[in-house]
Amino acid sequence: MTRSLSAALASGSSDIARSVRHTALWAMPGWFDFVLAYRRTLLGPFWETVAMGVWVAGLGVVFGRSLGEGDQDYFAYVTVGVVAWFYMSSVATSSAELFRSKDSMILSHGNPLYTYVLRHAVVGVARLLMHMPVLIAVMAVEGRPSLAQAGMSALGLASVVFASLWASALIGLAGARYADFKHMLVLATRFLFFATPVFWRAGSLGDRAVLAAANPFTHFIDVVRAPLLGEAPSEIAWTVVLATNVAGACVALFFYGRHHRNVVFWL
Amino acid sequence: MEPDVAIRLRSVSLRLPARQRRVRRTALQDGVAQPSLARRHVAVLEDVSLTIRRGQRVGVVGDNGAGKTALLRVIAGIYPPTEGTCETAGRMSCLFDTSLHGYGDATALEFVMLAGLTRGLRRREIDKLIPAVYRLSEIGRHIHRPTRALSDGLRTRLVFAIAMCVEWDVLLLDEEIGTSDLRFREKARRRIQEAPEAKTLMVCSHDSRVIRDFCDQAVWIHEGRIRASGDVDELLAAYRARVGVKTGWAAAG
Repeated sequence: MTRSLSAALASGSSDIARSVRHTALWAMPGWFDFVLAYRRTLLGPFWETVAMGVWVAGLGVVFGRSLGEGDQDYFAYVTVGVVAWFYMSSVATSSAELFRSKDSMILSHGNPLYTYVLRHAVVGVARLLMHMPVLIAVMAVEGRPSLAQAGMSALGLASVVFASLWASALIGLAGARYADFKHMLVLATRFLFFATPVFWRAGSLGDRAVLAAANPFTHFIDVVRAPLLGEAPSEIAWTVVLATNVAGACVALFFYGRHHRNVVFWL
Repeated sequence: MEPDVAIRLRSVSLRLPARQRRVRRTALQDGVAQPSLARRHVAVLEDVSLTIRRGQRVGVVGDNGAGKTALLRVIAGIYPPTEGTCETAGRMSCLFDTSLHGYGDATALEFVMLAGLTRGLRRREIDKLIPAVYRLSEIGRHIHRPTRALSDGLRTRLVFAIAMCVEWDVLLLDEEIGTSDLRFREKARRRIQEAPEAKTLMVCSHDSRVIRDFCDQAVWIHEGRIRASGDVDELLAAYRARVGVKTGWAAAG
C-alpha cells in the first residue's frame, strides 16, 4: 500500500513537473484554444464580456428588488459573486471533457498529460480576464475598494484558480473514464448555482444558513467578494479554502498519479 | 541500449480495456461465441520483441486490427506497455492521423505554428519550420486559409510535411502517406532518402508501393504478434500470398 502510494505520487509529480516546465506545450496553445473559439465572430472574445454584463445586469434587475432591498452593495455583491461562480462552474463542467476533447492530440503525441490540464487552465483564466471589465466597471460605480482590499481579493481569486488546477485534473480523469460524469456535473452545477449564495445572502436563510456554510463554494466566493465589499473574509472562509486546497491537491495528486497513464486507454 | 540502436522492444504486451457489456451483447446478437472479447481486456500486442538500428527504414504490414498502430504508439510513448519494456533513442516525430485536432478555424500558418508548439519546439525552431513546411507541402496561397477549408489531399500534405520537417531522429508514420498524390509521395520519398543515414523510419501502410518506396526492411504483424520480419520484397510477397489466398488481393499493387 505504502509502495503503491509513493509510486503514484512520484508518477503524478513527475508528469506535472515536466508539464509545468514545458510552457510551450500549454501557454500559447491554451491561448489559441481560447481565441479560436471566437474566430469569425464580430466581437471575438469580447462576447465573454458582453455575456457577463448581461448576466450581471439581468440578475441585478430581476432580484435587486426582492433580494437586495435596502442593500446598498447588492449590485457589487452580485457582480463579484457571478464572476467567481461562473469561473468555478465553467471550469468544472468543461473539465469533464478536458481529455476527451483532445483525444486525437493525446493519441498522436506522447506529451505529459498535465499539459492539457494547464492548457485548459489558460482558457479558464483568459475567460475570467474577459469578465474583469464588468467587475471593474461595477466596482468603479458602486464602491471603490482600496489597493489593500483589491490585493486581498486577488489573493482569494488566486486560491480559486489554484483549486481549478487540481479539480480539473480530477474531473478530467473521471470524465475520461465515465461518460456519464459530464452530465452529472452539469446537473450538480445547475443546482449549486441556486444553493450557493451567489445572488442571495447567506444571512437571509435564517436558521438554515448552516446549509450555505457547509457549502465550500460559499467560502471560495467569500474570499474573493468580501474584501471588495469592504469586509474582511471570515476566518472560517479562509480556513475552508486553504484546507480544501491542501486536501484536494493531495487527493488529486494521488488519483492523478495512479490513473493518468490509463487515460489514453479510456479515450 | 547500444549506441547504434534506435528502438528496442523487449517482450512487449499491450492490453486495452474492452467495453465489456457492449461486446457481450453484440456477440450474443451475432450469435458469435467470442469468450476472449468478453474479458475485461483485449490483447492488442503480445510478446513483441524488436530491435531497430539507427538508419533502418522499416515498413510495418498487417491486417486491420493486427496491432500496427498500437505498436507505433507504444514506440512513441503514448501507450505504456502492459508488460515488457520499450526504449528509444533520439528525437521522435510521429504522424498518426490527419485530423485537425480541433483547429479547423486556425489558418494553415497558425496550424503549423501550433503543431510546432505541440511538439515542444521553441519560437526559433518554429520560425524555421514554417518555410520548410511551406516548401515541402507546396501549400502556396492556401497557407492563409482556414484548415477546415483545405482539401483532404492538401491537409495530408500539410500534416505530413510538418512531421517530416521538424527535427527528428526517429520518424513514425501511420498509414497517411498512401493517401497523398504521386508527386508529393515522390517528393517525400526523396526527402527521406536524402536524410542522413542515422535517421530511422517506421511506416505502417496497407499500400505495398509505400512500403517499397520508403523502406528497406519490413515487419509483419499478425494478431498482435510479429509473424515475420526481414527484406521488404520477400516479406511483402509472403504477406500478399497469404492475403491473396483469402481475398485475391495478390494481383493488385
